[in-house]
Amino acid sequence: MKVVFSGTLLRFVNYSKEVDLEAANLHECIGQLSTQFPSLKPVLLTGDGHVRDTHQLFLNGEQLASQERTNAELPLQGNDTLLILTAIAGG
Amino acid sequence: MTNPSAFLTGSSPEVVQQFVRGELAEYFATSVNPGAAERDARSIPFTADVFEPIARLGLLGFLLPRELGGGGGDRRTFGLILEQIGFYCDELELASLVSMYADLVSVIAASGRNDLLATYVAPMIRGELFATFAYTERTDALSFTSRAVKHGNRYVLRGEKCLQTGGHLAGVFLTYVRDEHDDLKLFLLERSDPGMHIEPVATAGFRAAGLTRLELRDVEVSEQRVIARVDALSHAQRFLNDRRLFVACPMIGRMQSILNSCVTHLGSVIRYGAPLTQHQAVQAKLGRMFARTQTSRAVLHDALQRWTSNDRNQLFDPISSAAKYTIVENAIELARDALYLTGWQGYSTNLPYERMLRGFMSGIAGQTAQDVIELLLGNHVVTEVVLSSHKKAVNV
Repeated sequence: MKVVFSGTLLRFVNYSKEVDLEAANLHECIGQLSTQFPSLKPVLLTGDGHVRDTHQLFLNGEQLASQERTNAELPLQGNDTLLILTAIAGG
Repeated sequence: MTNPSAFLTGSSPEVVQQFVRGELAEYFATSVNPGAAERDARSIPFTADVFEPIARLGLLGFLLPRELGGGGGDRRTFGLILEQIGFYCDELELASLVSMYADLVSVIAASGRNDLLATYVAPMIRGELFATFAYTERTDALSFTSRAVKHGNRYVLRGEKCLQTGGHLAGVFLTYVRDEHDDLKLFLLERSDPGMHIEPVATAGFRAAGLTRLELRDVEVSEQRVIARVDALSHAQRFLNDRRLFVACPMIGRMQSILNSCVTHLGSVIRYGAPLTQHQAVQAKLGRMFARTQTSRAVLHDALQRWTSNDRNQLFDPISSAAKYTIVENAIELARDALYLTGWQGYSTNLPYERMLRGFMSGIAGQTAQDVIELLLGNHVVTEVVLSSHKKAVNV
């Protein structure tokens, strides 16, 4: 599967706009990203391991609802594309 | 204390205008506006008593649910009220502070803690206690350096928050600080907490807003002062997203006020045997100012209307962000046009246009800087196209 990054998050993934990995579910996907990019983990995840609300997740073009994004077992397939959109504004 | 939200919710802009004109216009004209030039010239922020009539009118609790002691009003109506305050009050700062106070009441109340309602929310609604939020640092949000370190059941906070609006009056600072695990937490800090060091920040304009810098010098607070324990970064983004449009609301009122006074002034100036308002070149520029005002108002009202239908992104709403961006740019251009039309008088303190221009320019930096909005909107557009093309590919 493919994970696509943009904007603010790019510097935490060595400016890789796309990352290819193999994951059976969302939990595995996030775990592999955290291992591959250690500095991404605290930015992407809360202390209890959930993706922060400020990151919007789109699976194959459709935004994941809150119950889907907190579902660690959400199944993923080899041809899936997960886009992570982060828009962080200032005060 | 009255509850204007009870009869204003869902009202037309004209009804809201009548309300503000009837309740506040004379107060602004006689008690606030006469001091505007001096506050600007000497960088004197508003005093607390300025907000008393506004609190009595119920506006500081307008957005708070009724069951918590507020007015239960909606954000569209409140935005329209801010637009009209911007028309009748000569200083953008006032409407900006009113909207921030009203929003922060809701932030504290949303914690659901009764102790906070009694200690903070109730006096804030009455205009007896003021709050500000301390978020901005001299770096991006993912690199904030302020730190909260836990010792037993207490936290020790150290760092710097470089800009707060209304910090001069604030008894409460809602402060976003990273913990040992790099997670942002939201702390309720009191001005009197040992280690709180607050100093004024000098600015080019927007001076009555009392901007401050906050330094946290080992400020020690109990766990009870944490009001967002997890992922306060998302909390902050929702808060900023909601507030972005409010910054622009009073600018529309100011734009209309400038246009009106400009026409009046130019009508009294005789050049080549006729009032300037009769010169075609002047009329063309006034027409441009009118177009900027009307299009800005249309953009604002459309964005406000989306709030009532909940047709908006909770974290970064591109429509309201684009509205803020457009209104700020139009307001700056309109003030520049007023200066071009009025020459030396507009540049002097005889007319307030140079002060208005500096006020509008606060929107370049305030509530998400204009260049950051451009960047985020661009990223949004690119993402929309990528997502759209992906959907098409899936459907083929």
